Amino acid sequence: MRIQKMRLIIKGMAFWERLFRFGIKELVNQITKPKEKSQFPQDEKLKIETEPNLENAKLSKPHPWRLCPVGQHWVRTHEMHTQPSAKNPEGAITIRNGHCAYNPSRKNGKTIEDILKPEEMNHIAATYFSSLSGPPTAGKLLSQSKRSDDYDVLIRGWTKYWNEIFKPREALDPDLVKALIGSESSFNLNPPPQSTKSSGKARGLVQLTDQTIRALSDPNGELKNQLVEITKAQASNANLSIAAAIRWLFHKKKLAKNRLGREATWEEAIAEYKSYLKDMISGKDLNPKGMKRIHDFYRELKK
Amino acid sequence: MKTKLRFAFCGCFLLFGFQNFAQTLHEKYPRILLNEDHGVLKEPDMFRSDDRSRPYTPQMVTSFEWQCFPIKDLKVKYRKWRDADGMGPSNVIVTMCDFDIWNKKVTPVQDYGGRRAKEVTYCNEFRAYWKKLTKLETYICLSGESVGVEMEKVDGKPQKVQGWVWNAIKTKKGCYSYFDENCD
Repeated sequence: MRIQKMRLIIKGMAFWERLFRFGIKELVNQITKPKEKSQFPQDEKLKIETEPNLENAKLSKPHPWRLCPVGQHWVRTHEMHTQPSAKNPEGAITIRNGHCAYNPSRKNGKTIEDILKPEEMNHIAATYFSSLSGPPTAGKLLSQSKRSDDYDVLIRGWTKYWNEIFKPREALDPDLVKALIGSESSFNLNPPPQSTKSSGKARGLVQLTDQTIRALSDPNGELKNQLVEITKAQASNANLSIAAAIRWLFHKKKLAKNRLGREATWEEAIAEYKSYLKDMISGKDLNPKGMKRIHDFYRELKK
Repeated sequence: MKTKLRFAFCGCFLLFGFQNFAQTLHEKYPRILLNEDHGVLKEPDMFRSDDRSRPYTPQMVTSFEWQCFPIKDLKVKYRKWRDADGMGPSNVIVTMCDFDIWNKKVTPVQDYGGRRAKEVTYCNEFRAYWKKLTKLETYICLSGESVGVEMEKVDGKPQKVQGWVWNAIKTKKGCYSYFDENCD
């Protein structure tokens, strides 16, 4: 009897918490909407044949390529261990199909609107990128690296995605992203760690550091929204690291704007990404070699 | 007749064999090693780890090139400033640094710079390796990726500067590189 009472109290608390978080309209929607049967195969890997049935939420998705509405993130099909009970004394392992789950809240109680997780990033790339066309330009940097065109599809797709999310006045040019990758790693997907241990290991094509990876996914960190969650090991994955790096570059553009007191150009955003902006503004080094390398690549791509 | 032919064959073999043996790395890989290495470099240095399986051809494309210089002709110029690391949290101010390796004794002037600025510990580590590798040595070889030739003011005078992004430095004492793969 007591347990039943406790359950009722907890249910009541959960109701008020959801009401507080999503408002009456959204809550009525959630309650009245019939529970969806998952359409996804019970597979460890993410195999999405059709998107989840989210008619009510379709308009509020952060981007048409995304699986879940604002305030939710995709959780892949996974095993769930149920506790032993009178009915099932040994407990059980059930398969929880891929579904949308609510994003966590920040310390201040505000829910994070958008978190992009690896499963969804892989889904987006696999589903939408192959049909895209346009820059980055292929065949121009092969004299620098035979791998230089290997990541064009991902650069094209993720630049388009983040441009559509942030809608900057001047869209980010995929050729500039390609030049950035060339300058950071010479298009080497998994360059061995740098000899220096001191300034944080940099990984993968775009040389993301542990600090960047942490900042990109920290709900209480400096990114106010559009978090990207990848692990250190996943920084060596071309798709995930390019998605994360472009997100970071948009953040750097915002920081460069704060520093300059005016809208920053993409070149200034890259200088901020490479920690050269302050040095460039002060006139100590107007044209550092790291930036010159980008200019060279970019010029070559635009020829 | 047979003996004469044998002698001629052996003579040719020895001559070609000797020529091949006497060929310097610079003669063998002129597009990768731009000048004489004074015995600092070895054949594997001419290839990146993923290129080693490919046979070398004069047309082979490599993104990096080696040059070797007398150590006394080179100067390393370090720059330090206080700022947030571009790849770290923006509210944590650290000492950032970058450096350039200059050779102003040649034309065009050679300038090897970094891929990005980093925390000062990176420069300190480089400085320590530079000191260790160059001590009592005469020549040093630098591997870099070209960023072209431009007119720049060097010591107040406009001069042609050949820019590079450095990959590795090597002396007979050892090697130090940005990515580990550039050192053997």
